[in-house]
Amino acid sequence: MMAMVGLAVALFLVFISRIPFGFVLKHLARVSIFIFPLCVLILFTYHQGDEIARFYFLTVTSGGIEHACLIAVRALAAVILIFPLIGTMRFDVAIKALGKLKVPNKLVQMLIFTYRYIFVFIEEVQRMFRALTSRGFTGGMNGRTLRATGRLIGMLLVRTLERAERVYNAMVSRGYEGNLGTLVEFKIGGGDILKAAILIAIAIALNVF
Amino acid sequence: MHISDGVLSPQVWISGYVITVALTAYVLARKTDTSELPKLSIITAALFVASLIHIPIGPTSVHLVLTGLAGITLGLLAFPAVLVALILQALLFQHGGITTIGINTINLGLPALAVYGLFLLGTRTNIRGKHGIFGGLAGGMAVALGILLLSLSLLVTGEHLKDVIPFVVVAHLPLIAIEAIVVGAFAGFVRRVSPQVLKNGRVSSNRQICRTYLPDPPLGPAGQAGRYPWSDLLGGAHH
Amino acid sequence: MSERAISITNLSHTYPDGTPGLRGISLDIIRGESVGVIGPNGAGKTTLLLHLNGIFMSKNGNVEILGKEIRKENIKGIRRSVGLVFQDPNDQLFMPTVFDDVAFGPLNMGYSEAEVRQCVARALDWVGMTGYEPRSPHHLGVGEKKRIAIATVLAMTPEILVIDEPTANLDPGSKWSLIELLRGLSITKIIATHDLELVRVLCQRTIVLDKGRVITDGTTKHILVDKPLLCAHELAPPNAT
Repeated sequence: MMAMVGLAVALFLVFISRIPFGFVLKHLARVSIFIFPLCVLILFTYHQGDEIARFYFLTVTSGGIEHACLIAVRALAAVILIFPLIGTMRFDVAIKALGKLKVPNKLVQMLIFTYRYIFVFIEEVQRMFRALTSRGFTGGMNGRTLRATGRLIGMLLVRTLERAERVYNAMVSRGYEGNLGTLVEFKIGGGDILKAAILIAIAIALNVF
Repeated sequence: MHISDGVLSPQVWISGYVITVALTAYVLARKTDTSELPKLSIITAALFVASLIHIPIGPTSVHLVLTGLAGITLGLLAFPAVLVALILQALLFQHGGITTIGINTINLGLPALAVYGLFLLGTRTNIRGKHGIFGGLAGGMAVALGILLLSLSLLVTGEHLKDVIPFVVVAHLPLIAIEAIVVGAFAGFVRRVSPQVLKNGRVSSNRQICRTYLPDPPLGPAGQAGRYPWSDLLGGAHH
Repeated sequence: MSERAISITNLSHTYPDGTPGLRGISLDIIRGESVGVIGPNGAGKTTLLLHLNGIFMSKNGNVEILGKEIRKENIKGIRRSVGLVFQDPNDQLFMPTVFDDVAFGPLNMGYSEAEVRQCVARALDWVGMTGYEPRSPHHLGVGEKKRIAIATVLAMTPEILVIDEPTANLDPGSKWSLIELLRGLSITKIIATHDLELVRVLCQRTIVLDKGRVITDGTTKHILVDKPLLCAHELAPPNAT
């Protein structure tokens, strides 16, 4: 089965790129939360081939098992395959590499600035929630909490607009005119192209078979 | 509410990319001059972070999607914003999938554009509290439309995913209600505090920057607290 | 006669919503001077600073930098000679790494790669932050961020340095080392602040600004001992006479 081979190769690649397995597993656990329910659903709803088991109204068929496994293995392999790709490089380098790959400058700029401010806003949201909590806010699924959350996001955006204005001023006062130049130092060698080709080939094979 | 790698057929995700690239190129070329990019990016970052907020439901929790909110604050620019958010999510948190960035952008971005239109129409009426009402509608509708498009992409991929769809729909139903309330409250609040946040996706320049250097006013005695928009965050009206 | 670095005549500014920001400001700053602009919150300090490199351009009044009036055509040159450091380093540092941030200005000025690298190295050396190039600004402490923010501006080798609240949010240790750093820079400096200790050690001249007007303009020595004046403009505790 091609998908199995793909999974094995992906694992091997993670191994040779010296990414700690613990790190990979942690991410896999999170991804599995999304994939696992889907597989269970397919297992019970997809009926083809021999009936294998029946619990009251639930029927499992060989075709169902096959499909569920295929989806699971494929999805896992796809996720693992990404690790050697981006797990070994700094994120800012990755974005600049996109620029080198002729991704339009506007999009690259958006990625760079958005990336930078995500962390600023995570802290801001944490501070705002802390301020709410200290004034008696308790989480929970009710209209009052949800409305408070909506207003909190409102406050976040009001502040964000003001910040955006200040950041833009800071850019303009250092000569920003709409284009972003960066200096990147990385060389692409024949080996890199070969590695990329192998990765892409596996990825395509995973999708086709 | 997005699809991971390896589930959809290549036809589906490749067409997803084609449409996304075309739409993004159109919006970015026509609707922004470069001076607006930094501002758009920073707002995108805020929306991204806001969508990380988790709402507890029973033993589990869901995180917000906020595509409707993106629509009513950014207008057409919500589409590139969704794309950027998904790229970052895939690269940064290895979450969501790389091949599916295109199709996910469509599934989340098109509803944002649709409800933006709805919100524009709604706020031209004379209904009392129209911002809150249509904000809520926009928030809920965006999720509903997103589920519709998501189901459609599963359906087009193949028969074997057909029976999954009802479960996907049911699992997301609470989110429609949640987003409706959150985005409705958002729109009503922002309308009062700083209407330019809803200013049809355009950030005007040369606004009052100096104001923001003032520290937050201190909370006065309990009776006075309501003077500040800040105190509205709690839900107001209980001193 | 000494050369004027900045010359402002009758400058007024009104925000789009009608709030007046500045009302008829006139002042001259001589080359090499170090001037403190003090005043309460909302006095118009930041608004004034934003006029100094053409972020705000008012129709009322006139701002000349090094003898040249600020106009759309010469704005690039003006921004190279006036370095503006904003209050919140998170507004100033918007790139993913320290190197990119410091290189941002020189790159916009169209320098060659070698020149850019040289500018970055020199600027980081001035603020004592050599070796921080690959770090991401988000992971730095407030004091470090402030230093980098100043470096981003120094990298463009400005002739006039304009700083908004350099010591806000700093602990005393970082504050004094930053003051030492600023004292070592021998270019024209305009510093907006309500930190009177900073003004005392750094500025020979002080301008008191309130409600968009220049209240007093004189030597720091005289202004900082004028308790009634400071109290009247929220710069000293209300009963510190």
